[in-house]
Amino acid sequence: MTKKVLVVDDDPDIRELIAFKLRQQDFEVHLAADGEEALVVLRDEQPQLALLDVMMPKRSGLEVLQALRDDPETQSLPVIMLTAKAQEADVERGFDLGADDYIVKPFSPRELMSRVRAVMTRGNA
Amino acid sequence: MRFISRLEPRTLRNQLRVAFAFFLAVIVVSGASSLVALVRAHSAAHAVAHDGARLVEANASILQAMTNAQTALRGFALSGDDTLLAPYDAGREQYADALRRARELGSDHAPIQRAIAEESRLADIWFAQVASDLRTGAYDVTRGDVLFTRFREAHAAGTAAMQEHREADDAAAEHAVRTSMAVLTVWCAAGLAVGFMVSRRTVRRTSTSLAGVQDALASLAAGDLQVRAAEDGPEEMSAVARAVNGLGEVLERLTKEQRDRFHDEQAIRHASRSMRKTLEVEAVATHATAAAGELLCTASVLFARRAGDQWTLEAAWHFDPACPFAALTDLPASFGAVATAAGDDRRARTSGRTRDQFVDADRAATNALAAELGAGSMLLVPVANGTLQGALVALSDRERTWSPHDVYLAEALAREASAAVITAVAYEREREMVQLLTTLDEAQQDRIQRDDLLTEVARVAHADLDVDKIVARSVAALGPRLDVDIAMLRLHDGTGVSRRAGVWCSPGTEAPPLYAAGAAKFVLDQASAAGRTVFVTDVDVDDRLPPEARVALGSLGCRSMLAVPLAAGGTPIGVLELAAREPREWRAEDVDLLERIGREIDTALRHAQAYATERELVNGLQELERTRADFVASVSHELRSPLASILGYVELLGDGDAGRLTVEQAQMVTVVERNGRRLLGQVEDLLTLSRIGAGTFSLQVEPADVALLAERAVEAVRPRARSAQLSMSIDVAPDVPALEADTVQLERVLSNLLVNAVKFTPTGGSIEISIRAAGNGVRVAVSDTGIGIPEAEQPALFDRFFRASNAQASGIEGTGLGLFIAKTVVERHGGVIGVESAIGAGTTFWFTLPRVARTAERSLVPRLHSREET
Repeated sequence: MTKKVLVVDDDPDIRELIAFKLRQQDFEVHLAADGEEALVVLRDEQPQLALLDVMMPKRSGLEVLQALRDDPETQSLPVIMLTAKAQEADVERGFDLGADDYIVKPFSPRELMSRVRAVMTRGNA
Repeated sequence: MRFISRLEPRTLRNQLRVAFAFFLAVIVVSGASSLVALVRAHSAAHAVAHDGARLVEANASILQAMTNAQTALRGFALSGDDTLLAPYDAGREQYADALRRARELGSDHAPIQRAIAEESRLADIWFAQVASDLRTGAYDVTRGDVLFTRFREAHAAGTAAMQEHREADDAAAEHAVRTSMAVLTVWCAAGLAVGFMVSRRTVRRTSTSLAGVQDALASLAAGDLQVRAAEDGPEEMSAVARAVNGLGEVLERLTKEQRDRFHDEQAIRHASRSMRKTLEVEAVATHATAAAGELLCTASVLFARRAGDQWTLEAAWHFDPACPFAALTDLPASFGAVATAAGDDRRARTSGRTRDQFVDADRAATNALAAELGAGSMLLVPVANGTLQGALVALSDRERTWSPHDVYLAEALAREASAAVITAVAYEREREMVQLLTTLDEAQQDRIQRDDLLTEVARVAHADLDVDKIVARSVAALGPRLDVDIAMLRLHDGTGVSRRAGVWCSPGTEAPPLYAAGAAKFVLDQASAAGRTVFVTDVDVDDRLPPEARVALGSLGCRSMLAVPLAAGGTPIGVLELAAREPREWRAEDVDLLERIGREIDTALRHAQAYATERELVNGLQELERTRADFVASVSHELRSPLASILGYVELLGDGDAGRLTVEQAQMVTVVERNGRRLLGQVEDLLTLSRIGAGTFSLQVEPADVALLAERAVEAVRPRARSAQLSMSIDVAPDVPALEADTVQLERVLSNLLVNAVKFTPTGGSIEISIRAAGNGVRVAVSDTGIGIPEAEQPALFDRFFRASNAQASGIEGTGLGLFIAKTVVERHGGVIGVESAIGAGTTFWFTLPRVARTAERSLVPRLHSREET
C-alpha cells in the first residue's frame, strides 16, 4: 500500500523538490502551503508522515505540530520538522512538542529521504 | 623586819632560800639549845650527885679516921698498950688525907670551907691535947672525950653544911635546866615567827605579782590593751610581767596598726563611695584629691586626666589654699611622659629620698618633674584600669620620704578613682546620649514628620511620570498634612499663564478658581521674580501687598499664604501655593520643608517631561530594533530558502534524477553547486557576525572528535585542492584526548582555515593538518606552502573584515569574516588562536582548545551528523 506523506512548506520550489524525491520513492505526496491548509489535508487524507516547515504564514509549523499532538487521532503521526539553521530554539521546542526528527535547510534531498525512511520504519515498528 | 627587808634578796629563789634558811636555823638552834640544856641539866645533876657525895664521903672519912684514932687511943689509954698507938697514927694519917680531899672538893664553897676549917681546928685541938697527954704519958680520957665531942659537933655541922650545899646544887641544876628550856622555847618561838613572816612575805609578794600578771593578761585578753602589770616583786615575776607588758605593747601596736589600716580602708572606702556617688569625672577627681591629701597628710594633691596625649589638671586639693601649688593651672609638658611611664609599668613614681623598692628607672625625669612643679617631693600614681586614665599626684613643699604605706594609700585611692572615673565617663556619655536623645527626640519627631511628609510627597511625585497625575497627587498628599486650607500647584508655560494645575481644599473650603489672577498671581510673580519663596503671614497687617492682591487673597477667603517657585532647573516651571484662612506664622522649617518638597516636585515634573521625551526616543529605538531583528530573521529565511531550492535541485541534477548528464553538464552543475555552497557559507558568516554583534552567539557543546571533524573538513575541500594539485594530509597524534566542544562551529573553523590554505597556496603545494595533545587539551595547526602573510599585518589578521594586502592584490576573493569568526569560536571555547607566517614561506594557523569548553552551554539538541552516524 502506498504511504501518504504530507509536505508543508510555503516555498513551492521546496515543496516540489521534496515531492519529486518522495514520488521517486513511490510515496503518495500531498502538499500544503501553510499551517491551516496542512491541518485540512491532514484531516482529509490522514497521511502516514508529515514534513513540516517551521516558518510559515498563518500558522507556523510548531502550531500545526501542537494541534497534531493535541488531537488523539494524530497524536502518534510521525513528523519531521524543516528548519532554518538560525532557529535552534525552534528545534528544541519541536522536540518538546513531539517531533520525531528535524532537518536543517538547506538540506540534501538524499539525506531527507534517508531520514524519511528511518522515521517511517520506526513508525511502523 | 627592816633589816630583813634591807638584806632581802630580789629573786624569788633567794627569798625562798632565806625562808628555808630561817626554818633550818630555827630547827638547828632549837636542837642545839635542847642539847645544851640537856647537857647542862645533866652536868648539874652529876655535880650534885658526884661532888656532893665525895665531899660527904670525905667528911665521913674524916670522922672515921678520927673515930679510929680515938678508939685506938682509948685502948692505949686503958691498956697502955703501945701497939695501939699504931692505929692511932693510921687514923691520924687517914684524917689528913680525908681532910685534904674534903678541902679540895669544898674549895669552891665558902661555908663548906669554913665548916671544914672548924672541923680541922677542933680536930687539931684534940690532936694537940692527945699529943701533950701522950708526952706526959697519960692520956686524960675525960678531957679527950670532951674535946672529941666538940670535934664531932663541928663535924656534924660540917656534914649539915655539906648537905645543905648539895641541896642548893640540886636546886641550881634544876634552875639551869628550866632556864635553858625557857630560852630554847623563846628562841624557837622567835625563829618560827621570823620564818613565818618571811614565808608569808615571800608568798604574798609572789602571789601579788602573779595576780598582777594574771590581771594584766585578763585585761589584754578582754581587749584593754593599755593595762600593764607592775614590774616589781621577785625578778622572775617582774620578768614575766615585763614579758606580758611587752606582749601588751605588741598587741597594742598591732591593734593600732590594724585600726590604722581599718581607718585607712574606711577612709578609702568612704572616698570611693563619695567618688562613685558623684558620677562626674571632675567631682571624682575632687574627692580623690581631698581624700589623698588627708590620708597622705601632704600639702597638695593634683588629679591629672589623660585624653590621648593631652594631660589636663582635672582637680587639685590644697591643705593651705594660699600655698604655692594652688597657683598651678596647667601641667608641665614633661608630665605626660612621667605619668605615661608610670602607667606603662603600673608603678608609682616618687621623687626625692625614698625607699629602695620604689626607686624607678626614670627617677631623673620624676625628680625633674617634681622640681618643675616646685615640689620638695612628689608622689605620682597612675590612675588606670586597662587604659591609663590619669594620674594622682601628691606634692609636698618639703623633702619627704614616701613610705610604702603612703604609696599603698595613694594607689588604693587611684584604683578607686579609676573605677569611679570609668563609671562617671560611662554615665556622662550615657547622660549626654540621653540628653541628646531627648532633645533629638522632639526635633526628631518634628523632623521625622516633616521628613515623612517630604518622603511621601516625593514618593507620590516620583511614582508617576505623567505631569497631570504628579500635580494632582502631590497637592492631595501635601494638603491634609499641613495646617492649611488650600494647597495648589500651578504649572506655567512661557507666557506665565497657568496652563495646568492641581488643587486641594480642606473640608468646608471652597475651591479657588484655578486660573484666578490676583493674589496668587502677585505671589507667583513675586516668587518667580525673586526666584525664592514668598509668604504672607497675615494679609490684614502686611502692608507690602498691593490692594488688588489683598482683595484677591480675600476672595480666596484666606489671610495667609506661601508660594514656592519651582525653579530648580533655572527656569521656573510652576509654583506651589499654600493658603490658610487664619493668619499663620511660616516658620523657617516650614519654608525649608516646602522648598524641599518644591524641589522634589520640580524634579519629578522635570523627570516626567524628560521621560516623555525619552519615551518617544525609546519607542523609536524599539521600533528600529524590532525592524533589525525582523530583518535578520527574514534574511536568514529569505536567503536560505532560495539556496535550499538551488542546492536541492542541483543535487537532483548531479544525481541524475532528471536524466543522465553529459560531462560538460555535470561540470557546470558542480560549478553551480560550489558557488551555491559558497554563497550559503557567506550568509552563515554574516548571520554569525550579526549574532556575535548582538551578543546572542553561543556555543552548543557536546563530545567532539577533532580528528573526525578535520577529516570531514578535508573531504569538503578536497575537490578544490585536487583541481589545484595540492597534496593534503592529516597527522593525528595517538594521545589526542576527546573534547567537549561545539562541533558545528569547530568544523566551520577547520574548514575556514583549510579553505584559506587552499585559496592561498599555489599549484603543486601542500597542506597539512596536525593535531596534537597540548596542555589540558588539543593543539591544531593548519600549515600550507602558500604566499604567506606580511608580518606587519599579522596582528590585525583576526579583525573583522580585515584582508591581507597580498590577498587583495592577488585578486583572491573573500569577505574577511572567516578568521574573525574562527578567533571568536576558539576564544569562546577558552582556547587561543595564532598564526606564524612569512612572505613566500607559507603560513601556519594554529589554535588550542581546552578539553572542556570554558564558556559554553551544553547542547540540548542532538546534532544532525550525530544522528547520521547512528
